[in-house]
Formats: sequence, structure tokens, C-alpha cells
Amino acid sequence: MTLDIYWRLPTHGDPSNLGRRSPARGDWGPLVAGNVAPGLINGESDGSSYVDHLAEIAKAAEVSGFYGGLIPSFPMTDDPWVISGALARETKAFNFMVAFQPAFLHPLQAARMSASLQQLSGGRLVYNIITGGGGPSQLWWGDDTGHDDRYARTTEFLDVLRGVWSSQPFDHQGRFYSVAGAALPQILAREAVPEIYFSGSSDAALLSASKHADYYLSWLEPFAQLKTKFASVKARTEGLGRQIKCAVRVDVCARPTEAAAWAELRKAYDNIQAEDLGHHRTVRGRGDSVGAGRQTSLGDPSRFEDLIIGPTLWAGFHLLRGGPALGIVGSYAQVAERLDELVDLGVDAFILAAVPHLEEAYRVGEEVLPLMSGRRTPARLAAE
Amino acid sequence: MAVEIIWTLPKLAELQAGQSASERGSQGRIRDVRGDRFGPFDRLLQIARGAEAVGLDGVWAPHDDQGLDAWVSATAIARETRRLTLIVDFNSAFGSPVYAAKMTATAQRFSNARFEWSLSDQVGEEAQTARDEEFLAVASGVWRESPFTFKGRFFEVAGGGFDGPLAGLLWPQVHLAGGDAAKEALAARHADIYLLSGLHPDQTASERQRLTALATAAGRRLQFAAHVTLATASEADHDEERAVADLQAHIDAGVTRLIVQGGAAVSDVYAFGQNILPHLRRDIVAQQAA
Repeated sequence: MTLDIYWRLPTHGDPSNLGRRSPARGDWGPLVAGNVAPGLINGESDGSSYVDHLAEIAKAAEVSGFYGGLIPSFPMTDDPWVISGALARETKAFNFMVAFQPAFLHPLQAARMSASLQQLSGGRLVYNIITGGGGPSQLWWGDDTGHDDRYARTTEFLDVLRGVWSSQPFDHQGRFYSVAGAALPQILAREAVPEIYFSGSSDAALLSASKHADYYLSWLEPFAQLKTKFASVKARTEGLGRQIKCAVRVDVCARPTEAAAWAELRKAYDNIQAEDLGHHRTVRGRGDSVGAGRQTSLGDPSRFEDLIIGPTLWAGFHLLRGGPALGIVGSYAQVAERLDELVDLGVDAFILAAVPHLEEAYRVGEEVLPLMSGRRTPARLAAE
Repeated sequence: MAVEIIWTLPKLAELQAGQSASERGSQGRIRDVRGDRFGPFDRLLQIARGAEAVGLDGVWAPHDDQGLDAWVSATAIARETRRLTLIVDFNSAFGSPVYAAKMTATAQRFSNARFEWSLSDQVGEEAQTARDEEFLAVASGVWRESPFTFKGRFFEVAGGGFDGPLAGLLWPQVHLAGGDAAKEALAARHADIYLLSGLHPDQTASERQRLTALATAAGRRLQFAAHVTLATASEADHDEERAVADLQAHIDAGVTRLIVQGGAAVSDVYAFGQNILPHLRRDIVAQQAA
């Protein structure tokens, strides 16, 4: 049983410190002294661009032992396919977990681009299939398909993608896609279909995941809730004669001591609060994402201490940066232990992240990962 | 302004045909360290680097149903080059025009704005031109306006449009070809660069006149481009002279971008750069009267 641990490439720029909002790495914020990629030299841009910094994060991740990195995709991010094409030859081992929605690409085009990237990178493409949060964000892309239909479309998208991913002509007449005699050329068809990480918390999502996903991916939630969700997904999948693994996306704040970790987090929280004057970050309109609803129901955003929901768990990360609320805080050993607890719960892969993503890749990769046993303990296995 | 010379990257079949057979008569005594680490992209990237090295202005990544995806080729080439224009040839079966534009926004950010589009045809697609029109309307709309809203037969956007660092980027110039009245009308409205049909400038004079008039009526200006196929450099010197003359005839007729098909080997792009390119007079003295 392998355990794949991914890092994350931040596609909306990256602050130089968890306690700052301004993305000083990249050009997603104003270009000022201290910025990187591009930097400022004698008042002018140094001509580098954000891909140069993403290259450094990817290389840091692979050097420090991560399997690869998640590359998120939203209206206000850089694009994962372009990033992967740019960095495939600049990395040796890094696996590119490209996030995308089926609405973005025709499945034949997705197959062609994917197999080409497999050829370019030596087989290092992975999918994170996301199905969108609905509402204004969905219409921004030009997609007015409702929630459950989007998941039905995702299922059909993957049916067609797998179908054309062979050199034998494939026909399909479906609700969302029609192809006739479609096939990849031999050189592409012999590349492996990427592993599929699948996100979504609703019943429609679980149904779609159980057919095609290799990994069911969830944000970190309170452990009991997570365990129930994983059990449900696995039961549905076994009912279809398949095995599915589970993965968790979680931010970590790891330091040499527990006290240092909490102090760092507290300082970041205070800095951000001062910057924001208590203004809660808003998302782009109301969507129909079940997962986002689950996150915002955790804790009260007003006090740091209120957000501590366990010895090494803090539910306020979404106040510091967009993304999941719940994260792991502690010494290197404590963080490793929490991750091992999740392995015991049934997790077979992680997507870890921390700000700033370059330095923290080294820290987490070199200090935390070696302390994990990564194995399900006999006591747990016996209890199941 | 100088006339631009673009190198056409080989499709996979041409690339592989150019490779000698991998059988080695020495019964494996010569140690081959390649393993499975090298493939068609290695040659393709070297051809592109060669195009930049010899002073060509760009590369054309053709749509190849039997080969590698042009977007992947172009993004890999962008990372390994500094100056080349990168023209991606694809069609509107791609998927979402918003997504094509979004990928291109990142591509422009990462390449110092060197990407361009060619929107060509799918085989046997009905309503191709109507779909292409909407594809380009949506792509250019989200690129230039925020918020942007569009409702058409094929595509729809509500409250879209690029903001922040995705806004204000250089638009990827669009190449379109003609072929019938509807396509010419589309090109007049949406093309930045019109791909002339016909092999020789004499054959395209009336086409150029017609498109110039259509574009002017639409309040726009078109650049003219031509695909030109050359005999390969392995042939005798007099063919190089002929190649220079053929290319010069296009330039003298007002074609400001030549997309050259000059062979699938790395040596072909170097031969072109060394033996033909230096002989072309590329300054535009005056636009010919249409």
C-alpha cells in the first residue's frame, strides 16, 4: 500500500509570510520592493514571471520528497495545463495534479492534451476532477448546468475520455457528448490514463466518484465526519465492484515545537486581522457547493481561541487565505502523528500545503514526512 | 516593419518518417543509453530552438489528429525560447472558448506575450463558421471586457471577463483562412491575419483585394499570410535560389507573414536559416495597392 503525498503549487501568487495577504511572490499583487518573480530592480520589473517561481516550488517539492503537487484552477488563477507544459521538462520526478472541470474541455481534446503531457513528462500527469461550485462562478466560465447534471456530465466526460483513449475507434451518443469513430493515435493511446482524484461532497458527487475515481479527495474535516464520509464512498464503490482510495487536502503549520507553531499562527492571525480590520473574506457570490457549506459551519470567526477545535487542530485557516478552514498545527512530530492518525482512518494520499509554499516545501518535506510511519497500525486494523 | 518568417513544425508522421530506423546492425554492441527517456518532443523542441537560433520569427504548431497536441508543444517550446512567436493551430471543438482564452492568458503571462491562434476547421463539422464566430466573440469578449455577457447558439457567458493580472494582456493574434463567402466575412470581422489560399501570389491577388475591402468595410485591417512549402535543403543549390525567389514574390505582393514548410529534420531549419533566410529582402517599402 503506497502513500502518495503531494504538495501544492499556488496559482494565485503566494505571500512571503502566512501573516501577509499581499502575494509578494508572483504578479498577482502590486509590484513592490521585496517581490519575487517578477522582482523590482531600480524601479523596474526584472523581466521574470510567475512561472519562474512556480518552477522553484515544484523543484523544492520534488527535492524534498513530495510525489508532486496539486495545481488549482479558478477564475483568478494561472492555468494548470500551461504550468504543466512549461514545467514538465524542468522537473524530473514531480507529478502534476491538474485541476479541471469537464466543462472546460471536450473529452477528446482533454485526452489528446493529457496523453501528450504524459509523453512530454514521462507519465507524470494526474487529474483532480472538480465539478464546480455553481452560481456566478459557474456562469463566469459559461456553464449554466445545474449541480446534479454537472456530476452526470462528469461521469459521461470520463466515460468518453476513457473510451477515446485507445487506438480503436470509439462511438458515443450521450446526453452531453457525441463522438463517432474517435481515437487517439497509437503514440498517445499507449500512454497511461492519469490517476483520477475526484472532489465533491454531495450525493451526486459520491455517485460520480464511485464509477471513475481512483482517489476520493476531501478537505480536512473533523475526523469522525471524515471517517463517515470515507466509509460511505467506499461502500458505494465496492457495490460497483471497484476499489477506491481516499485522499485529504490539508494545510499545516509545523514548527520545531508546539509552542512555536501556535505562536507563528497567532502572529499570522493578528497580522491578517490588522490588515483586514475584521472583514471576513468573501467568496464570489453564493454557489451550490456542499463542501464549502460544511467548512463555513466550523467555529466562530471572531476569536483565535474559539477556532482551536482540538489539540493540534485550528479551524481558521480560511481567514488567512482562501481554501479549507481546518488545518493541523504543532511540532513536527505532532503533525506527523496527526497525519498518521488520518492514515489509520483510511487516508492513502495527502495534499499538504503551507505558506510560503517554497520554504515550507522544504520544511514539511524534510522535517515532517520522515517522522511519519505512514502505515496503518495493527491495533486499528484489528478494530476495523 | 519587417516581414515575418514562421517555421512550420512537423506533424508526428513527418517527424517519425525523418528518423532512421532504430535497428542497429551491430547486434547491440553499441551501448544505447537512451532507454525510454527520449521521444518526439525532444526533436520538436530542438527544431523550435533551432528556429530561434537562426533568426526565424516564430513557429507554427499544427493541429495533428494523428500526433501530439499543439497546445502542449507550444507551452513546452515557450519555456525553452525567449523570442519566437508561438502560433497554436486548433479548432473550436476544443471546448470552452472562455477556457481557451484563460489558458492563453497564462501562456501570455509566462512567455512575454508570444502566443497567437490559428482557428482551423474540423473535418466534416456542420455550422463550423457560425460556431467559430461565437467562439471568437466569447474569447475576445472575456479577454477585453469585464463583466462580459454573451448568449449564442453554441456558447453562453454571464458576468465573465478577466480581471487583475489576467486583464490587459496582449491579445493572441488570430489567423483565419477563407474558402467561401461566409468564411471570408468571418475573417474580415475577426481575423488579425488572413491565410491566403493558392500557392503563388498571382493566384491570390483578387482574394487579397476582396479581403482588404471586406475588412475596411468592417473598420479593420488585415495582415496577409501564406503557407509556403519548400523543397528540402538536401536538394541542389538552384532549388535554394528558386526558394528565395518564390518567397520574395510573396513578400513583394504584400504578404507580411510567410509560414514555411521546409522539412521535418533539425538540419532543415538550420539549412533554411543559413542559406535562404539571409537572402530575403524583408523590409516593407510600401504596401502594394490592393
